[in-house]
Amino acid sequence: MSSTLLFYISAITAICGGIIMLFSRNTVNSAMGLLLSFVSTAGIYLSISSPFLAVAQIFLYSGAVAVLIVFVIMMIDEQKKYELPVHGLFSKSIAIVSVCYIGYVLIDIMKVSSGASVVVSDMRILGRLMISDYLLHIEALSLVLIISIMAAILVAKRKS
Amino acid sequence: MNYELSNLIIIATLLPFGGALLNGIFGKLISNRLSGIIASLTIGVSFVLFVIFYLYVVKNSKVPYVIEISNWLFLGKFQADISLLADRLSIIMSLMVTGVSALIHVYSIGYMEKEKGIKRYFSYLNLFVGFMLVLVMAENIVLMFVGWEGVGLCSYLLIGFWFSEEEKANAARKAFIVNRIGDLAFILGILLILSYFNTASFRLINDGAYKLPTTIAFFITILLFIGATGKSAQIPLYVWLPDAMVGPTPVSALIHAATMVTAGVYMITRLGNLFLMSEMTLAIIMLVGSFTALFSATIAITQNDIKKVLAYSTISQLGFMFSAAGAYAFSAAMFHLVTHAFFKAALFLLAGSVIHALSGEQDINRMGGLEKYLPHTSLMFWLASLTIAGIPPFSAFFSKDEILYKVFINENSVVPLAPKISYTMLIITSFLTALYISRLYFKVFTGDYKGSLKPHESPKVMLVPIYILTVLFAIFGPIGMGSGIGHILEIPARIFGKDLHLVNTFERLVGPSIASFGTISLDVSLEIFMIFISVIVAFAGWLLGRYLYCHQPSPVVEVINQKFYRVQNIIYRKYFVDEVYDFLIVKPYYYISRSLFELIDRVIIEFIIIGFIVKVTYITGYLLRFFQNGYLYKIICVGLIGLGILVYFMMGK
Amino acid sequence: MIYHYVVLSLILFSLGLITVIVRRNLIVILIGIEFMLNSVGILFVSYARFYNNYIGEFVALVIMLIAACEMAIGLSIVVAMFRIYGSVKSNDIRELKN
Repeated sequence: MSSTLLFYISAITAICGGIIMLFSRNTVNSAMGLLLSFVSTAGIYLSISSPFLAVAQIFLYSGAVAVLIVFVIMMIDEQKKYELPVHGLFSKSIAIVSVCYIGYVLIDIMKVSSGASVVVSDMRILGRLMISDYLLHIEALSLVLIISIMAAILVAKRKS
Repeated sequence: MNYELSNLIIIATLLPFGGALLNGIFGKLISNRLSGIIASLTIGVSFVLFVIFYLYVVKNSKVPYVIEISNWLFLGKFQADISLLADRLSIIMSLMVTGVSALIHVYSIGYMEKEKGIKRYFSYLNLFVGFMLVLVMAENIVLMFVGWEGVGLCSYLLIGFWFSEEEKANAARKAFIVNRIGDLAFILGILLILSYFNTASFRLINDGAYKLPTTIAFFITILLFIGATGKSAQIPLYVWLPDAMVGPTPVSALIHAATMVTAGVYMITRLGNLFLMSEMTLAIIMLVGSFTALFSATIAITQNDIKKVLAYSTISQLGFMFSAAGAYAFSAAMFHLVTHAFFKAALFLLAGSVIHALSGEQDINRMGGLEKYLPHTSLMFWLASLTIAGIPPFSAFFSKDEILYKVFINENSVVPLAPKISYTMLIITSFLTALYISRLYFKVFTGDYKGSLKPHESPKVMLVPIYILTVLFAIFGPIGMGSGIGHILEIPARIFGKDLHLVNTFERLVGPSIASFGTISLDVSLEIFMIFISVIVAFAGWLLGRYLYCHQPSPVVEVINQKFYRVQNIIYRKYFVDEVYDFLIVKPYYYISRSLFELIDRVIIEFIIIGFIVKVTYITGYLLRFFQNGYLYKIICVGLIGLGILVYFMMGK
Repeated sequence: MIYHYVVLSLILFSLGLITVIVRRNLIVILIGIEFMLNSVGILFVSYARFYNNYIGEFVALVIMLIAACEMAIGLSIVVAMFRIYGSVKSNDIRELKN
């Protein structure tokens, strides 16, 4: 029962974070909305009894990504120039249509899916998978990480 | 055959092309005279090589040589190679072509001296000879067609040599287009041959011809004959030849009198066995030939342009050859072809000499009395005129006589009356021939000079070739003498107990290469009788011309002019054939093209189709421009639309 | 119960999508992309847990890593663009038009 409560609270805060991100005129506020949403997602992972992913979520997303975004915002320093938050009628209507479409898809999925109960995630199994069956994938990912770091440095480097 | 000799033939055939390339590419580096000398030399050397080969062939063998140069077309079942066929027929034809061409090349050096673009001229002329040799030496009909088209092209280029003048360019176009009509039929004929024989080789076609059904043989031969009428200027496709006279005179002599126009006769002779399979076609050839001869001879009487007279005379003489071919007398046709090449080339060159002397004047009404000014030209013109009139002992007497005899004794089972009708027309034509040529001679060379410029005799470089031709046509005749005259001449020899083998030397010479049709019973007394008729006719025509036109136009001419004004006018206007063709073919064609242009091009293609495409492209572009405006969010929206469609289908709806 | 998770995931995804479409600031657009990736992660993990399949969790982990990489490169591009154009508004950057 507590997990259900945790889910609802986390879900509401995640959606709130999304709304802040969407409607905030300030870029930093948008980033903060994102951060809020990330943290709530960690809660959701906990509610679904997947503690490892919850921790990873906080480390990776909240710790690394959100901080990185805030850094960049501060680097660019454009907060003072306020902007109109949204585009014109066209993009609004597209947004509404896509939301409606997603709702339609959702209802459709509800019809076909069947119920199931949560099983607690065993971290040891996940860990063993990562160094046995999916070792190659993990190594590939590490390579991608290295390359992306180098690429990021290269792109953002100031021309001397 | 031995290797060197086959190389000899290849070199002899390709030499003119070499000359053409040399003059065409390096023309700017050499002087005018050198250019002419090079052109003449290549043809001359080619001629000498053919002479060497001819001596070898006549001495050693009667078998035709096939010289394979390379493979060419592999099309399904049949194959056409680039190979040359050297038999007696093609060698004699090549000798004639290269010999006459060499003389005309030399003559051109003098005649074209002051013209611009003389190197272009010699280049074309050499190219023409090269293609003519390809036509003559070709081993298969497809390669012959290459030469056939090539000479057509060179003819076009040379008629339009002075292309800056509208009339001359139009004449060239007319020649080309009229020839296209014939060529279309020729191509169809070739295709029919290919589909029925599965081969293009002349020998295999002639060997297999006897198996052909009569109907198919008729269609093939009639199509080939239509092709021949285009190239050899027979009714109904003769109209280009008189107009072609606007080209330089040596060109008229070479292409439109001696060589190219005889290609049709040569082709029919080559495919003799095939043509023998359809008597219907032979009857048509005979009738068309003799009617063309008569028809154009009447026009020749009324023409006033010296070259036009000779042009119609050429058409008429070609008609003789076709009649002979239609009467299976292929060797007679070939013999007349050779003699005609000599005397008609000479006549044209002499006409050129006269025109040269009068600085471009061609109207015979403004000539007259040139005997005094141009003694050499006048003498040779007289001899040539006697020759073409058929007066013994010159060559045309023998050749024309042979044709008349062969046509008369011919029997055609499909159209029994054809030989007799044809003979009647030809004998009238003989009379008219003598009449128009004597009219021409006397109007030009006797009487009083009516022009203002002082005429001058041509230089030696022009006269010498004509002298050589004159000797040739004067003495060449006895080689091909028929049995009748041969027997008369052999009587004295028989008395001394010797056999001179004078009869039909030419026929024996080319015989092995030419289709023969059994044995024709020779009636010597009939032949002698007919010789008398034709000699009388020839003399009558000549003397009538002399009576009417010598020195002063006789009062009879005035009376005739007044009384038969209308008839004369019709003939003078060439029976309005050009106008009729214009009305029947050219005008409708023009209007059809015009309306098609207006309807299809302007309305359907330009307005509807192109307009539609333009509109569609414009609208599509207009719509797409909306997405491709560089705004990030719009690009994402387009992607989303695609994604939505994708999801829709993935959900299995 | 799984429906709730799916609904949540879709709502979050929609929010991220709308952000990407309507906002003009390139950084905010990147944030929206992160948001969408995150919602997909939720979907994977919830299905993995409800059907006791570890591959789903593993994929969620991969998504996180990829998101980090993407963020690093995306932000560096934004910085480079800011240097070149002096702006991070998507409307100012329209190289694709020409």
